[in-house]
Amino acid sequence: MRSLKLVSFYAMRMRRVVPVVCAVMLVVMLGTLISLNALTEKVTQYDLEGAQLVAREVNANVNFGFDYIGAFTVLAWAIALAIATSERRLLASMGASNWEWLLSLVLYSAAQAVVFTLFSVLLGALGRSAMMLMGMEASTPWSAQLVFTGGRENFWQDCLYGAANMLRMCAGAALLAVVFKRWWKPILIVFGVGIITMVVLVIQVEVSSYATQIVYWIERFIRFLETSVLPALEAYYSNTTFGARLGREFLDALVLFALCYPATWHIKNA
Amino acid sequence: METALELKGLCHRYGKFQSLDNLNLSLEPGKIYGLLGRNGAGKTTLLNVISGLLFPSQGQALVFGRACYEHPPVQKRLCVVREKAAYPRDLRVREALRLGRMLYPNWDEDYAQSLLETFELNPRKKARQLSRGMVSSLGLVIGLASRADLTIFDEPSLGLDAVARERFYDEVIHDFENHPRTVIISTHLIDEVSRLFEEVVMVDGGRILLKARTDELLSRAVTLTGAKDAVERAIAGHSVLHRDELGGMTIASIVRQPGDDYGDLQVDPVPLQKLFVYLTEGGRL
Repeated sequence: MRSLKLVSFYAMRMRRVVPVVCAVMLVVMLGTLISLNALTEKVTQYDLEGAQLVAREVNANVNFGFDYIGAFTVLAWAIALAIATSERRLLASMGASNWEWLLSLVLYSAAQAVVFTLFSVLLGALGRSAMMLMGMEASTPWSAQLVFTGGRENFWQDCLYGAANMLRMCAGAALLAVVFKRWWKPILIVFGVGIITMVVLVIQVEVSSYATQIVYWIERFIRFLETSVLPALEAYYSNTTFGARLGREFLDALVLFALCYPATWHIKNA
Repeated sequence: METALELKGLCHRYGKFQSLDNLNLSLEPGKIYGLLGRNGAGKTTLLNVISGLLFPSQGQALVFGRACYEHPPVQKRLCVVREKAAYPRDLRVREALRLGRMLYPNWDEDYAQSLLETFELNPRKKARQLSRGMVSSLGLVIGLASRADLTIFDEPSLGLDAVARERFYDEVIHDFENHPRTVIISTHLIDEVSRLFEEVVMVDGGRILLKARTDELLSRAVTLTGAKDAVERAIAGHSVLHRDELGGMTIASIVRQPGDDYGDLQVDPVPLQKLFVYLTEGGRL
């Protein structure tokens, strides 16, 4: 199936980006370790009442530091953007259909989310291992679990949610790319009208009756958003259980990816 | 027998400008066709509509009996090598070939590698490092190695030197002999490529001017050279495609008629390129 082959094509194209980003994160990690070590030494040297400060810093980095899932999410987002723009055009010019491109993007994004989450976990474990080897003391004794999970209670849930969130971000990036490629002129026009309207509303300029009508209808639209759409969104996001949050991420990703297909229907690629 | 390409009342518009106007055409499989037309005649638009990058405002373009758009079984059988390739700047030559291997089921990797040597392409180079001619060469490699049932080359000679062009023509002929397929070559270098064409399709102003076998087309016109009076007598009653006067001599290209006798006049065939020019300037066969 061509879509599966295209997944390996994307992986081949992106293979140089990931090591570079991992190298950057390792450099950041090294910087964090060096500064923590310097802080620890300074406290020891001057016998300041900084033991608590050091412990707090160490604990912070054990629990929340070396968490690069956010950085990997940004990377995944950028890759999805690239696949939805230049790679999509290349594939179209070489006879791949839109749904083959979309299916391969979904499969690749899912696989990438798993791999990036794993990288994030491994990098975090690497950082905490280094802290342990450097003799830094955490509030709880070092253990394999502490090194691996950073003491987080819902570690596997967090990993799963992180991967799902990454997938949703990829879907959003892809949809944004194809929608803007197709309708950038109307989007910019609406954006421009919106800015002008906001300026008119804010400074309350006296405008012609025709413009007043336009402003009136825009105000009504904003009120509709506030009274109907926002409450619906609040209800959608109200359930904060893990299952609901995870389900929302996957559902959002599914809907956003699915919308990419009609957005690319009869899109001109020449 | 399924047709390789069929156009049924095909129209396309850019805003108010009619770029393709009611095209009707049927191409049998297993031949090499020349697609000829002036700048802006609609050749590239036609190829983009055939391959699904643009969409007809009316009518249909059918590849092996089906519209190509969003139909992978047909898309796999079609390879269009474009004048303006859409390679990302950081795409390496070998990555482009790998993509071709993934998308075209008849892809011949050994042939692709030998073509890289023929066209002197470095597989490690990125698209942004390639000259215009090298980009064209990459397209030719992909088009030839795809062995797609319908392979279309849009201006394949753009930026190519004479050596590379000759190599391309030789490869087309040799590969066609061993692995017959339907090939369409859209080009401005008519005389150079005409030896490849079994049939030609001429497009002008978004319409099809003619479709004919090359040898038959070339036999329908002649160029007569001689004294003015003698030439005038010979061409009387004929459709004159072109006339030139040089001193006391007249050179006239005319449409043959059965039973023509040109006497002592010098009779030469009309090269395809000249025939194309005459026809697009209003001449009629």
